[in-house]
Amino acid sequence: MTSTRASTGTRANTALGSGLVCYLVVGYVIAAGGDGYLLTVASLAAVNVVLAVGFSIVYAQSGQFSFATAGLAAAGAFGYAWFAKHMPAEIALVAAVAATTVLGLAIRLATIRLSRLYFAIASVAVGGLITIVLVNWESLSGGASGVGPVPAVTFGMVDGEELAGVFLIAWLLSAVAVAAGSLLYRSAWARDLLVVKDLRHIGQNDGLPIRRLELEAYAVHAAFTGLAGVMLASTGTFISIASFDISMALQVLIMVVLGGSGRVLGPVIGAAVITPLPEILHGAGKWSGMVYGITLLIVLVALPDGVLGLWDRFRAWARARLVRPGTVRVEGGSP
Amino acid sequence: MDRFIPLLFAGFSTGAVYALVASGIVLVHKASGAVNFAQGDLLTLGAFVYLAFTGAMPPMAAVGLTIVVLFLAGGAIERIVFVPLRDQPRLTVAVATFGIALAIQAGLTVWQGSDPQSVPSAFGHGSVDVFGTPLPVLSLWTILITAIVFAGMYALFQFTQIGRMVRALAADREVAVLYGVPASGLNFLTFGLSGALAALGGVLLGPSIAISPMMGFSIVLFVFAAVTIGGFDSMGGVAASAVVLGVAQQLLTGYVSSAYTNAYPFLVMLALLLVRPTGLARPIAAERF
Amino acid sequence: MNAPEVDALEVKDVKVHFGGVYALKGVSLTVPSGMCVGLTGPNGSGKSTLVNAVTGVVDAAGEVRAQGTPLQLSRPGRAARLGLRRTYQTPRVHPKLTGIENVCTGHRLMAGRSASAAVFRRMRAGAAERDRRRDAEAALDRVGGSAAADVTGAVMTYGQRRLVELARVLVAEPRVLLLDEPSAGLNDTEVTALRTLIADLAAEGVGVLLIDHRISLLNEVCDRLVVLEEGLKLHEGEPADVWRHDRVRAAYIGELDDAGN
Repeated sequence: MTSTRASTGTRANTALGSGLVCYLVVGYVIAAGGDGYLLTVASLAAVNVVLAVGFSIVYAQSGQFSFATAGLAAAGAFGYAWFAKHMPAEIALVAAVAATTVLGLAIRLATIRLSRLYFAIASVAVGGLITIVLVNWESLSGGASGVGPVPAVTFGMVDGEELAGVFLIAWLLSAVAVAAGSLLYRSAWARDLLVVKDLRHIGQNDGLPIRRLELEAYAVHAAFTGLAGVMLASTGTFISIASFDISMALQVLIMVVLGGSGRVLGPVIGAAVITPLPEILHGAGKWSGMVYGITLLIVLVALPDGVLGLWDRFRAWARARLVRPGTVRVEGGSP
Repeated sequence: MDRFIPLLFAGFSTGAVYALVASGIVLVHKASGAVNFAQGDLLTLGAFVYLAFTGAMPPMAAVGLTIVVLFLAGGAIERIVFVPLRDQPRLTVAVATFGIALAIQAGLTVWQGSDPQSVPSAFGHGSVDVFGTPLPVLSLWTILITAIVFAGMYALFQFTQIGRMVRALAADREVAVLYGVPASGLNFLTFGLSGALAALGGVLLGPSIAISPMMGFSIVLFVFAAVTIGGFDSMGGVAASAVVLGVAQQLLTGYVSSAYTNAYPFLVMLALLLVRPTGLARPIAAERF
Repeated sequence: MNAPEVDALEVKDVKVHFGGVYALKGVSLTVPSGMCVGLTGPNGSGKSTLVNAVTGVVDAAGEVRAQGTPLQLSRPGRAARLGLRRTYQTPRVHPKLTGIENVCTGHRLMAGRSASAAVFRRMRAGAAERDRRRDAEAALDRVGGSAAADVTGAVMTYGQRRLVELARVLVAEPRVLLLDEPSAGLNDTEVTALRTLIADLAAEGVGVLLIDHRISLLNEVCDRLVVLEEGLKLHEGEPADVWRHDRVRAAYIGELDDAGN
């Protein structure tokens, strides 16, 4: 089976380009025709796409399991809300993402000597701590009642009061995140991350800067998560600390595991499937939590490579079937 | 100074309960290398199951039955999650136990609703005067029972065949299996035992707080703080850490601020981890108990 | 070559202690540049431990110099910075990367291998990547592993993994090379190719430490042979002399009969 990653070039860029065009068209269609409800769900989907891409890079690609998602997203959201009081929304966006990245770097730097498991545990604590600090920091987070109305990011292109316009900008931001994610996934950096994840000692002996790479991956994760927080604030206009809890981290985890890893399409699929789930399950009411837990279990046990893995295996199987007899196969055998 | 003794005592008591839960995590890790994130929710399950039984039978019978039910629940987790994922990296198994935790929480919400409920104590009510300070009876029993349980586990590990086998697995799994240690059966047993320990924790902790289906998560966080400090393979270290964290939490809450109650164990844990990234327990301690 | 060559690797009195046992009790050896020194001994004598000590993976005491520069022990990654590379008893490649990609991870050129370069400096990253690929192809070709270039690690044969691993260390142009049982599992043709490769590397000035059990290979390619037993150097000298030594024969007598070499 040849590599499914086209590390160089035109074929991958074309795929990304056409994928993004479709993605943007979908966004435009939703903005043009959707009612308030659809726009809300779709905004959430855009946020989840960004969260999932950011988590995928730190977990699936570099093997660092971080549960500080809620804390980082909250930092992004409330940071943005505060910055936006003193500067234009677009600058506030950049400032909030930068601040969250710095926060993420500080967290990882402080915990860099911990083993992966202890870091995972510590990250839960850190995420929780950030949330607790924010709850008590009333001027930043508004305490229990929250902060709002928060100005929306518009880039001057849409009316900040209009839901469809604000949504479209958020969708655009998520497309940028997907594009960046794709470039990152196909990069030599991502390749080095795989070595950090699975062949750590070999990488060390080959001179790879293991810690620098882990820190970088975490910084990227923090940046994406901060952006997601900003998007939540921008599209929601009103944010409260209560919505940033540990279930956020679990949801992102499910999205990434379900979607599969190795390409940016994985987290996008994961986000697309998981986002509408609470709405669909709302009919089931009390059972939704169980479905989540059981879905996670089933995916982990039966589909460790996620939807993408399933698709790849199907493609390999189909290719094997469609080869004409007598053709010499140049590729390696199917797995 | 007035407040000190009751706070200290409350710290010992909560620490004792968390030590029970933490010992379940250590037990499972020693035998199978897996980390069970659902342990806190097993405690919650224990509390609710006890609540359900206690209306219909005498308290001690309810306690006994709860322990049995949770033993089976622990074993079920082993069969459902651990066995199919045996070849996957350990992080995957840990994440899967997260799924179990979610499922238990949600199941409890469906069964009992999400409002907090109160659990009657199986071990008496009210307080007793000890050296002039009133101390809750339940807390006294909690500490006593926990001490007995730990003594029992120590004996189990040092003096019985099963205990030796688990220690062998913890020390060098591959070699132990080669020597014929039945890893699979032992896994079931240890998962089950950790469930039983959680049940005991639920029965002891339940009466002093208002239980709700979601409380498992903060419990497991506290417990993990203790395990991180004490080491994943040391029962004694973990018990000591749990008690220290419990006392620290109560004292800090009483003397400094109650707004950050839930944060104190993490602050202590993070501070310690920053200083000693491998936890406090020396690796040699793992060979004992 | 007028100036005296610095020794590729100098190991002085290195001791390794873990689990209550001394795996190495004070071993010294030297690998001059441009020479191949063989390291052999019964199983458990400490050969791989010595390599692990040099690369900083196990805690060790003693003095090590790579290319004349003192090397801080017990710190992984330091040796790599001084131009030292090693292979492993069991070759490991990443299952999700192709042969070429695996080899590229060992390349020393770090330009373009950061997250920001991937997104913002794509031209430069692309150029550096082309350079890396070119070198990776050349390295794979040199070891005879070109067939594995576009195959992912998951489906490679054992031999292919060996070759990819070898290419991965060679693409870094090491000056000191530690090979840990590279001939295990290879057939005669492959062993001949390996022998030629080692000889070529030595001719290029690389100092090679060859750990192996295949006595024919050791005899053909090593200028000196060091024999370890139970964490100590048993004997050292030219291969022919070493095999005549009584204690060496005693240590090996069982193994010689079994291997039939």
